[in-house]
Amino acid sequence: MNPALELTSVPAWAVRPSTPPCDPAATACTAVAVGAEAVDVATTWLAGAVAPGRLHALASTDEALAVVDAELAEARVGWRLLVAGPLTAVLPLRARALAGGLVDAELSVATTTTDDLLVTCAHCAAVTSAPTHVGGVVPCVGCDRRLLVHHHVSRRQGTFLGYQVDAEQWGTEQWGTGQWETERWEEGA
Amino acid sequence: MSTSLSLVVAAVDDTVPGVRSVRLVRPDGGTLPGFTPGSHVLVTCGPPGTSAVANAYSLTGDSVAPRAYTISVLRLDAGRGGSRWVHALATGDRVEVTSPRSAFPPVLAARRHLLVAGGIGVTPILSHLRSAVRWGRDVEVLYAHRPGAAAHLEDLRDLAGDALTCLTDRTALGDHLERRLADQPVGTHLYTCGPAGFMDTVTLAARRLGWPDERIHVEHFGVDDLDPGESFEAVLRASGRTVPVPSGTSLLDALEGAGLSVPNLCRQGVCGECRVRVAAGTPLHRDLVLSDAEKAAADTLLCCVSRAADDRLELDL
Ligand code: FES
Repeated sequence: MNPALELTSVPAWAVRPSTPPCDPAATACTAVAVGAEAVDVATTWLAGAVAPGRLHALASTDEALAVVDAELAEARVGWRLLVAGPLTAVLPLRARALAGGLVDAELSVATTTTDDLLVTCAHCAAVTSAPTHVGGVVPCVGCDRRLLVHHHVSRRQGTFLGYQVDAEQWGTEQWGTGQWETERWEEGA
Repeated sequence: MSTSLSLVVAAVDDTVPGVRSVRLVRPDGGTLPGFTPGSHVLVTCGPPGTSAVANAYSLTGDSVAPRAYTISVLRLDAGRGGSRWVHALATGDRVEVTSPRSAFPPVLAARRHLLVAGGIGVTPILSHLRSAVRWGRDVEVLYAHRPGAAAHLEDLRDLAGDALTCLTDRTALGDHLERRLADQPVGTHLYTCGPAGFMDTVTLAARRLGWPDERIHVEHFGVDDLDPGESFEAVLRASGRTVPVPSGTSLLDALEGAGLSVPNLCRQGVCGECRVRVAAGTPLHRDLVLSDAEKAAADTLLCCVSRAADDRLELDL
């Protein structure tokens, strides 16, 4: 059984597409959009902002990561950042922004699709990108184990945690192992 | 309960008019417990063993393996007598203090620290500055004080150098504050300590300039000028007695007046000793001890400052 979403580290925008408003307290803002659909979302977000804003439209997550780094280096407190795009892009972008010192209140996240997830294998640490969902099962690209997607998303890595599922033996013992793996994984993340 | 330390006055310094710095050491000269920068101790302002006021004073000295605790106390003639007692201390006198308490720690992950002190509020700011300098953290200090009356000005100058700006008039302070708050790299945390009105000015300016609350840290000196509050009734669970608490009388005073003894130390909402369990009714929290979560739980309150949100409160007493 999965706990209610609010009690987990999985934000609502990671489950269904969403478009947050811009914080009215902002004194400057930047929208980083990955993909054409995200540009629409970012434009709406900027239109609702009271402060001067900038839009960066990018084709890939890597390009967007570089833009986030450059913006973080220049930004002053009062600034707000929107990252918009597919879930597989916005999670790593959020992780980068948080690592750069942003707090949650300074960061908006908009998802255009949540169909694909990035899943870190608790056993071999490989990251699998696949169409799945929390509670779904994906084969690990690294070790081929069948991974159950846990309702835990790392703020630091921007990926979901997956650990081996054995349909026959599924029970509290497995659950216990999963919990332990989560902690170990977070420590090392 | 807090551990208490029995210390002796090693030196007093009255260089700055109205402000006395006191150096407290262990009678055997040993090392004292280290503390988190921005910590305070509660000083029992009277001879040990008597029921005297306890005031919270920030520690201004080195926080790592300290040989002494130093505090600086502004003399308040209209106060409850705590500061006057400190101002009458002499070398060799015994002083009871609690072990250090941390309620204003630096955020270690911060990219930069902006420290804003008003008057005697410089004391925890000095402690933050010492640790920032010791660990090579990026720091900037604004110090607002009256012309001529500036506690620890030399210490700040030595530690901060060019990173210190002193401001002695209101307009200059407002302008400078706006300018500096608007130009801090993202990842900066703001720390302010001073009179309540001063801290309000600083936090309002920061919020207006888009600073999220997570980046704003304030240190109160105790709850100054609480309003007298509405009258209410306290019902004591154990005996079924009802104790009236008039406006202007604290719940603690009312309970003591009714013959109950409730542990207490500071009587100003900073120590946490006077916590009592609430059995029914909604507390109106006015202390600086309970976390937001503890306040929301509404099952305890600090009876020296907090009251009832409605006209009745049932206590587990
Ligand atoms: S006596 Fe210190 S908080 Fe009430």
